[in-house]
Amino acid sequence: MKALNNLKAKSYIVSTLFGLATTGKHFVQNLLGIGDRPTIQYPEERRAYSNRFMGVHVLTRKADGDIACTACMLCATNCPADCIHIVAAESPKPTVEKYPAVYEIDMMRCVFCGYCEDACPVDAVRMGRDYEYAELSERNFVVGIEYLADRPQLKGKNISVFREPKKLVTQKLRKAS
Amino acid sequence: MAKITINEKEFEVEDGKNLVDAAEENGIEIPHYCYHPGLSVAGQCRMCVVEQEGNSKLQIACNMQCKDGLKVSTESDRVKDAVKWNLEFHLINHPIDCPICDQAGECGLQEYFMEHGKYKSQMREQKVLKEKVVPLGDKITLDKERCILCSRCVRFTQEVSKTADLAIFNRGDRSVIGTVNNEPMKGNYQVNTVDICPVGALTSTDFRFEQRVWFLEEAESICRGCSTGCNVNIHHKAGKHIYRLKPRYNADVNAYWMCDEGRLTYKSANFDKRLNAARLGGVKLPLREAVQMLAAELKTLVAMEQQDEIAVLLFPTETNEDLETVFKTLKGDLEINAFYSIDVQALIDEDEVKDELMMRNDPYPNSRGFVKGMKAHKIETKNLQSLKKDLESGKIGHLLIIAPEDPQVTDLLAPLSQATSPDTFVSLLTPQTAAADLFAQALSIPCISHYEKKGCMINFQGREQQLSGGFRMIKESLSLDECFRLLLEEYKKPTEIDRRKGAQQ
Amino acid sequence: MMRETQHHRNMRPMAVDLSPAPGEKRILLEHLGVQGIRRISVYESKGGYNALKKILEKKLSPDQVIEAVKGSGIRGRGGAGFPTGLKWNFVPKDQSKPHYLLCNADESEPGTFKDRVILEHLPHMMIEGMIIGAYAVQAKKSYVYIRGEYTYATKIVEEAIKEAYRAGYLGKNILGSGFDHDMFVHRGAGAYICGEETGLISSLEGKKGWPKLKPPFPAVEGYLKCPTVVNNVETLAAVPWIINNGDKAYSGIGTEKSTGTKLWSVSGDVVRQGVFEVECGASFQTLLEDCCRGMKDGRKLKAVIPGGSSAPILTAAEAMDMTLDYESIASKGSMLGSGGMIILDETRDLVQVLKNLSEFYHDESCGQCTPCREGTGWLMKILHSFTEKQARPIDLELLKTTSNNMIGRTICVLADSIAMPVLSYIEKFPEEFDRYLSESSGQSSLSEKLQAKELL
Repeated sequence: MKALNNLKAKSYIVSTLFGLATTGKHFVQNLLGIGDRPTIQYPEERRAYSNRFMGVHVLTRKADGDIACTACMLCATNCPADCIHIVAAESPKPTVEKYPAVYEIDMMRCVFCGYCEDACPVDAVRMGRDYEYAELSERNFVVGIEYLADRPQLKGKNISVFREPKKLVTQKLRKAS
Repeated sequence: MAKITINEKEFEVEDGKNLVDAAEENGIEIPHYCYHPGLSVAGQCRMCVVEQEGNSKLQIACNMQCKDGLKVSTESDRVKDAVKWNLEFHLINHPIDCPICDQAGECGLQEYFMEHGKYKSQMREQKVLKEKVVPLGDKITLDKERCILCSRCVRFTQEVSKTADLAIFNRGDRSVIGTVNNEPMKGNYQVNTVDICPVGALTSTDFRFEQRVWFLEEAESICRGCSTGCNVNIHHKAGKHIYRLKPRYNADVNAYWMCDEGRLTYKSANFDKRLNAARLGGVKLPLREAVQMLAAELKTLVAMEQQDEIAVLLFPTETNEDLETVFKTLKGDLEINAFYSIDVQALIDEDEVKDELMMRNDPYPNSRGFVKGMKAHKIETKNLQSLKKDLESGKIGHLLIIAPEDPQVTDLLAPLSQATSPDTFVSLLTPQTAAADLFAQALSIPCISHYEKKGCMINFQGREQQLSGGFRMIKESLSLDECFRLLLEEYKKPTEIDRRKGAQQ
Repeated sequence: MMRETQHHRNMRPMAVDLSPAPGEKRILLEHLGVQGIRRISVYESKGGYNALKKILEKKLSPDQVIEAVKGSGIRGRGGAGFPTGLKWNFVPKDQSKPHYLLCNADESEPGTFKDRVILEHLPHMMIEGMIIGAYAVQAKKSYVYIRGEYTYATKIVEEAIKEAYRAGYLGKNILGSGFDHDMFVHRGAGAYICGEETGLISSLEGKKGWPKLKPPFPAVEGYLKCPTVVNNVETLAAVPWIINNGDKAYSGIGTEKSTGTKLWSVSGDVVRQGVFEVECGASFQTLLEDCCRGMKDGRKLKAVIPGGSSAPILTAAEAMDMTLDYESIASKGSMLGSGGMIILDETRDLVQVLKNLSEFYHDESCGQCTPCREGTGWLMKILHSFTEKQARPIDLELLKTTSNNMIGRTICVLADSIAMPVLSYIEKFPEEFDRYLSESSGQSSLSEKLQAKELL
């Protein structure tokens, strides 16, 4: 009876060993890279996101290097979070009429819904793929054209796919100043 | 009266009235571009076609006068098809650059396209190209491509402003609106052409790219530029910033028009020109404290029976209601007698139209109301020269200035600020920083600007017109009415002096 | 360069054979070819100004003159064919405002040059007709609005007016009748639209030659907002003959509804081109075979544009079947118009012809009404895509819908003037368009094909 009790008391060893076996299995699997693993070696390794993932916005540029945005403010109109601020101005280029002198997105307000991308008639604003976004001050989350169009992560791959309809470009007449 | 039938419904309308207007009055919209009730009939856009009973050809409504027995249809398939194609004709050479066009949101082409449009255009040929962004002077920017050649602007300059500087040049689809050699347009009524332009061809250089129109809200008011008192709509964004003024139709005062100078009066009401907090000698203080301080100052002088030393300077720019409170409080409750202002009666006597259409000599919007208020309270004002003399002689211990945001008032205040000795306590109720800066040591209390005011003003015809602004651009600002009620409340509160007086008795 | 040569050509008299052709019935052109007929003395020796003398000496009232013209049944020869007597009758009888008579000599319709013959050779006949007309509507002033390019004709008319003044037919108290009349020449600046009645009035007023809204009609509110009558040169030139010979004599010529004779300016592929005066109701063969001596080089007739370029085209069969009067041509779906007949033989490419016409109307549209301003350009561009062999199948349908939406939608009839020919060319010669379509590269995109399916 005593021996039986003793054995009973020590039965945990078996389950412990089973448990250890599971741990060991995963240890070995992870060590050798066998089987299905949810853990990744961030930041060396990165998860593949869906093509539809909506990260930090990108402002595109036209083939000639100008900002593609025409400052029509449809994105700002559509924005449910009211986080886009645009100041339109007369472009110095003779063939461009209007351009955004200021284009700011308040990332702290943005809900990454992508409505701005949908609203844009000229493929000027896109939802980008970047998701690592940290700053030390709230103020820094209001980002302008330099960040949205020229951040190093983009590697210059932000050329607008909108092609202007084929036509001779009509030039603006300006006051001789 | 004539009985006419539109779409098989009978209406009774004025005999000889234009059919487009008559239909609109009865809630039937006949699309039109070239027709404008304030201008002659051109019949060019051909949008207003209707089917008239007994006439095989489609007729244009704008050249049709209502008379008994007129029967038209605006909804038949034939009319609908004609309007659809007509709009297509308007659009085939239109650049459709709505994203960069300032008119987007209030554009006739957009509106009718959604309602009557032929959504699939079959035009694939090269559009006619014309000049873009042509400045016609400082006020107007022209885009010849967007123009649909309705000739409203041409007729306006010929018939209303009589400057006749716009014309249509060339023939056929090469026709363009313009001035000779792109010379600047003349006169004080140019921007009206922007208002009547149904598309984005003529845009106001002042408003250009400032804001998309769908963000703007409207409030009704009266222009503060002169005694004509043109009815205006204020276009502001969320009550924070005014972007433009547009004339509001009033057949008896300004019809459809207003002058360019008046249009720009909104500028001095915007944030950058505004006093946004109460201050004393350049130091900010809470609004309530400022009013308390003013009440205390006035009370001390009254208690010392020195209310003769209190002088009040005000201008005919306030509403009748505000003036009533001001006069009642100052004259009735505080028994102040020294009121100063400009010579309002002289302005009224010499008031006449000074430009080509309707701008008047008297630069204040409520001179008549001011005189009326003064008479009601038996107040007589002395002019600014005597105020200057009195200030220099040191007769005045407390000068209360009620100054509007009008820049010309600031010009009048400048010599007074130099004449003011440091012994005179100056308190200033004003919406603008410029006036507060003139009197650096003064107690300044921020007030609301003209276009935020609610109330009535009397124009040169003696017509009482309503302002219904109602929004607040500066959080910490008071209307004169609020300010003086608060002042009176504070004034009537027992203070230290009263208590001591009470204790002595 | 082209313009310059054209200009120089206009400086000279028109180089056409003016001798009478067989089959003609010359009333107006009776004295054409008489040496020096453009001088007043020769004209008077041939019975000129007798009609005017008859009216003023017999003291016929203006109403009697109008009745005579009404009785003759003469219809406006400028194109619309409105009865002239009726038009004069519309002018208010009171003299609260001055009345005006305008002579429309702005003959710019492609294929029309009949007025030029009168202006260059028989100016006094027109002037006499104008004075009579002015007397009928009690106009103190009249203007001859001459096409700017007719520099030679302008000189002749100006000279003739001077002669008429000297002879006392113009000026104060004409022939002692107490009737005063002054006549002026006004040159156009080269716009086709100024040949339109109200466009002409706008132009004469010193404005841009934009047609005006009707109503009010010019007879009530025309030049300078005063009652105005605008008549074609040929119409006015016929008036003296009517007065001289009586209205019955004139209405006896021609058919019941188209009385008198008509000047036809025939151009194109015929042996003898020129201006022929033919009795209304004569057969087309008379004009083609007798006057014009048949087709050039014996080729086959393909099509006829009967009344100036704005008239719908007729096939050879239709043309052969018609008689030369308003009703017969209208029954074939075209119009007599100004009588500028263009004969096209089998070698002619009608799509090219139509493209050419569309270019003209695109250039000449005044730009006032949207359907015309934009439509003429659009039609031209589509027709260009045909001739450049880039047309889509849907373009043929598009030509039709566009034209249908231009007809009757504008202030004046310039839009109809191109839209109706377009429709008639497509209706009557569809194979010509099909040939171009089949030769077109047919590179219409998928969406365009879908669109075409939806439409056709």
